[in-house]
Amino acid sequence: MTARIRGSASVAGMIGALALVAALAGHEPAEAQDAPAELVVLEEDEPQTTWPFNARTMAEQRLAELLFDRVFVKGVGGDVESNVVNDGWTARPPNLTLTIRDGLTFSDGTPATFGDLAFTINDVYRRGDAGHTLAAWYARVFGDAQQITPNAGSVRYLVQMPDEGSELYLLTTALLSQKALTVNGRVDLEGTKRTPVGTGPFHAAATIENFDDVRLVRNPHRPIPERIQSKDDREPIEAIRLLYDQDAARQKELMEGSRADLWVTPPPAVLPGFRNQKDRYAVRGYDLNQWWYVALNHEHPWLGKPEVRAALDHVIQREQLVAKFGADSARPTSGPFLPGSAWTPGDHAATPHDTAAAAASLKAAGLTEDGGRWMADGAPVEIRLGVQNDLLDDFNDVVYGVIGGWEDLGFKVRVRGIRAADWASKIEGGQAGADYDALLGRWSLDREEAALELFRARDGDGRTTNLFGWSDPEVETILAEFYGETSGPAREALMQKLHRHVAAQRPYLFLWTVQIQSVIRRDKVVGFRPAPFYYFTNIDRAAWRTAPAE
Amino acid sequence: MPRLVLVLLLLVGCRPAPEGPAPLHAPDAVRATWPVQVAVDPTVSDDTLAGLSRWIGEGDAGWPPPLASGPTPSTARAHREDIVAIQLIAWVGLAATCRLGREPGALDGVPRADELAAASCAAVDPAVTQTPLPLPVGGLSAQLAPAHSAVVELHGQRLTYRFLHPGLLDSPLLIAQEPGDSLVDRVRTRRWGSGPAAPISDTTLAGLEQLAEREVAGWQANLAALPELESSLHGVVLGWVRGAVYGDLGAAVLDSDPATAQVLLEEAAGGVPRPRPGPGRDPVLLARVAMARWRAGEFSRAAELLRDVSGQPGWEFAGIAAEMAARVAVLPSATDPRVRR
Repeated sequence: MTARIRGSASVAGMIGALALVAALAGHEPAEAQDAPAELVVLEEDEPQTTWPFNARTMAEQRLAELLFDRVFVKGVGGDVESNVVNDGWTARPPNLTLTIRDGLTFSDGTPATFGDLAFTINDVYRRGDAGHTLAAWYARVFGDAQQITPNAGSVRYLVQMPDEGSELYLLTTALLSQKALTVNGRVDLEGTKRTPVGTGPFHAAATIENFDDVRLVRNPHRPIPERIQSKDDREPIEAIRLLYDQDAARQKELMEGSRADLWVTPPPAVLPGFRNQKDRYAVRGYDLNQWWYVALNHEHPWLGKPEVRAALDHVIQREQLVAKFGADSARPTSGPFLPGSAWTPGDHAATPHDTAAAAASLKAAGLTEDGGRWMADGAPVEIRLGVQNDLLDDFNDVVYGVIGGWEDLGFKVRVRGIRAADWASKIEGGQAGADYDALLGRWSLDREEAALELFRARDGDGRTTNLFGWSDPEVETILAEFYGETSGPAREALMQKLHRHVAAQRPYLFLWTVQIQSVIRRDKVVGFRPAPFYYFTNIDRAAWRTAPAE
Repeated sequence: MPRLVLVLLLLVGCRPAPEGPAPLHAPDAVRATWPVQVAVDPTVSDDTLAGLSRWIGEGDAGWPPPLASGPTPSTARAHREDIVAIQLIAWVGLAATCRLGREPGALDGVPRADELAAASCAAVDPAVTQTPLPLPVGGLSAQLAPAHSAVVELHGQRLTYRFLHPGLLDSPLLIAQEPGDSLVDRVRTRRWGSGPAAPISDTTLAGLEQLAEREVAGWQANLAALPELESSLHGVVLGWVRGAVYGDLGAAVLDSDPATAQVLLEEAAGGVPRPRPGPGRDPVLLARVAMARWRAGEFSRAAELLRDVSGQPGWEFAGIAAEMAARVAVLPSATDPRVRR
């Protein structure tokens, strides 16, 4: 069965959609009647992997958070906690000494050992050929040699580390099972990604055949926190079903039709309807640093001209378009850092809508106007714009608002949606320039510093978030200074300088930031709080709400 | 069992909750509660109703300046709650300054930063003792003004560092009276009638949500049993009740579990992405939301809210807290950067 039911789906896809609706309506096969109730979650694009280190999308990141434990997590109030290691870890630079929590067991029943942690860092995260972009960071932090030896109980850092807080280096490292990832004596990431084994709260009881419809059950080897044990009016959530790759209209139907319990990232415009049914739905904030952009190819003969990029920027009606998201959900951005950030200069505003300035910029760039069309070298200027498919489906009015501004200016725009798989393989694989002059998309960041990755010169042929390979010596200089700087004010000044510089150079046209809120069936589910960025970190605290026993 | 009670039990869909208040099923008891009095009681004056807008109103009007005097019966409560809100906002600002002061290099080269950060730590951390810096004379506005403002020019950028006065939390101008028990004092709280609010036993988010929804469901039944309350008003009154329940429960766990408090308080503020100051979103509620976000580690969102608060006349000092919270949000991290589509 497939859950692919986008507006542009094929007939087969539509049949699949009907099958999905029938299944979700409760017409499960008889043998499934005894199965635990599933928390049905409406997600975004279909994941391509279950491995957290390979996650390129927020949907992949969230899926990994259900399956794996990060060695450390930020708990409530910012304290560092761990489900993986015992309390009382000690730092004696350059070593951080840890012991694996007694009884910690992978979902396949294998006890977790320090050898698994050594394997995780040495054989996966530090490997340059593992299909992820983390190897360089891990090499910087841990060095290239085998710094973490199995059973030794400590990890050795290459970087200067503080006596306290060195556990923070492992906040994003998920514990992996050596046994589960090793096939015939070698690590096989691709071959094992459909049978992930972790210590997380849930696991895949069977091979994940379809990545658009992922069913997980509670990890039988992980105890449910005592306070969420069954009470007379609540029960633990034993199973989760994640549905991917559906358009917002279908997701809204599923929520309203009682066929889904949690909608992770609904378009803000649909939220008022849910907000008005407070006895049925809760609308909860999901803290993400998310910003929307148009990435421009600077290698293009005329997009390489700063005046042309400025003109395209000036005709985007940001204030008008953010209103389409619904009140206060979106705010225009003026550069890579978000409004209100300490790194956003207070006097630096988003590019104002100004068609006269746009026309003047184009003339300054040497373009000529002919009957309302702008010409370059005697031919009409045309932009090949690629748009993430989900944005094209769910935010059609916003996307076409951007395009409309360019067409009104006198450009021809050819729009093509890009599927998630193609975005991962081609766009982030460095092939964007072959098919597109500009890309409309959105990034979500765990913290603002992550935005710096978007502007670094490409290093090698691996996947990259610097979509068109933009490279700027001034940026490289600022980044080098920033990473070598320990003074807070100097770092702040460097980032404000970067913000202004990048905004002026326009590798991206910075559009707006969107505040995400999830919809939850409050009449069915209690205790769920979306954790910043990772989302499912606290899923253990959520429970089914049940009627009290008589 | 009387027929009415049976009907009400059916409507509520469950037996009386094992914890929390007994549902106020008797119509006379319901009539003595603030939601019903505010909605239908002709003895509640127009002046009183106008003053209640701060807690249960709607619209775009802003807040009055803190500690503003006024003629309505609600002024005493507003005065008391302004003080609480100022203290909460100041606490966040001082805690942020303290955090920056403890982070090596975070305030490097900023004149007087070490002194003010240390004093800020003493203000918010009982374990730190230090002789407090004297507060300026000249009333509340002088005390809420930056205690120090330093301009630092680096890499061609001009940065301003403003500090709240570390002695603000001990200001004699900011001593709040105990809440009273009048109708005005009870509005938008779980003290429906006279007497204290019902105790809370299960302080998990799940437990508090269930308690809240039971109370709201109980109120739904209460209102249905009141013939004098037009059905068109039910939704409005239930909105007040929901705001009161979630706001009080959030406040109850603000110290012990700020992440849970954040969920509950944001619900009380309407569940909107960016709750702004205005009728129905009063200073204490939004200050608690900011505090919960701060303590739950959502520094940028705390800063955003404080910046919105600082746009209100007389509340500009919240901008100083916002600036410091925003600086904490970008402190160096030891983790690999995460950029996701």
